[in-house]
Amino acid sequence: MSKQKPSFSQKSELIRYVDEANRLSNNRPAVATFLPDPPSAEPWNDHLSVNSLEVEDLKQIAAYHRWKWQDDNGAVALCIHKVHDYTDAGRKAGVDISYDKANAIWQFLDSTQKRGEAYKHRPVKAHGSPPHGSPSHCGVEFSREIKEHEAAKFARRLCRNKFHLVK
Amino acid sequence: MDTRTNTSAFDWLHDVEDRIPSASGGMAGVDSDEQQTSSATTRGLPEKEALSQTMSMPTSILANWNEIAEADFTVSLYMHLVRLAKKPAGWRGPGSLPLQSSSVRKFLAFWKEVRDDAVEPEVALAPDGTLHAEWYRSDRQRLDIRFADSKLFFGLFDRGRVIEGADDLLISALILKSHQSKPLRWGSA
Repeated sequence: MSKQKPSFSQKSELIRYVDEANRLSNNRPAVATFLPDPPSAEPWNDHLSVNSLEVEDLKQIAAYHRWKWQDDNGAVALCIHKVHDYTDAGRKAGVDISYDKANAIWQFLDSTQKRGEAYKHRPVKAHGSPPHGSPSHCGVEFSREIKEHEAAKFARRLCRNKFHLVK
Repeated sequence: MDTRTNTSAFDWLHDVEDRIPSASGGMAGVDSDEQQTSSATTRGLPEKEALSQTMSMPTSILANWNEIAEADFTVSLYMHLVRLAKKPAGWRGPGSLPLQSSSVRKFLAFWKEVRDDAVEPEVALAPDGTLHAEWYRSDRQRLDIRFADSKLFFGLFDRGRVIEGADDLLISALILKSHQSKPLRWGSA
């Protein structure tokens, strides 16, 4: 059953959209799929975009990405990982990630030695015509701490899961 | 008349069967006299000027046109490169960059160093506009290289052993060519 807000429990699942530029043979996502975007004008707000399967199902998530990136055409490639997979990849890339039991949230230590939410719900309100929204959109927040060589380490550990093609 | 000026890249690609023709092999649809008059550096490919007149070729491809011709890629890899090069700024959201000419140049220079010991990789685009090449045998044996301006970043997974590094082009090529598992020969078929 879907929730309004994801819990980001260890076993809950996150979806990453795989652009056509990053689809390899045999449904393998390229390493580049999981590389963080270059820093924006608001680097403190940068994140790796994912969707939570706790909030929407695969078809709903695919419908949004088909509209947003593919002119509402074609099969959508989505890669499924558990929160644990992202946490593990982040740690292997050198990010200090821990679980705050009292508040039941994952946290990471940023470059200013402050702790922040490792995963954040970032719902996208409906926009466009006809309006499309993404209530399951979330950010892997610690990705902004991962630079260059470490970013590749992070991405390599996530590209092992094959993507699903949703028609 | 030079038939190359009347041939679009797509017509030309439809004419070839499996490989981009080299100077020695000649270009499909061009007779032998015309082959002799074609530029040695373009090795049978339509000339840059002809291409720009007949279709809008991305800058990152045009800027490396001669080196791409010399690379003797399969049509499949060439077309994939062009598709990546056509991705506009913002292709993956704000801040993502189109394919950078300098990254393509690095890839081609690397390919020149290793091609005698390598199969063609699959290529992908990173959000910073750099080109990625990947060789894959299995989930336990895979290699990826990112062609950044400063260095080559590579990750080699070989049955539980992992080498992740960044080095200059020639050293990376040497390391990978001489590796006992021959990762540059790992194909995805």
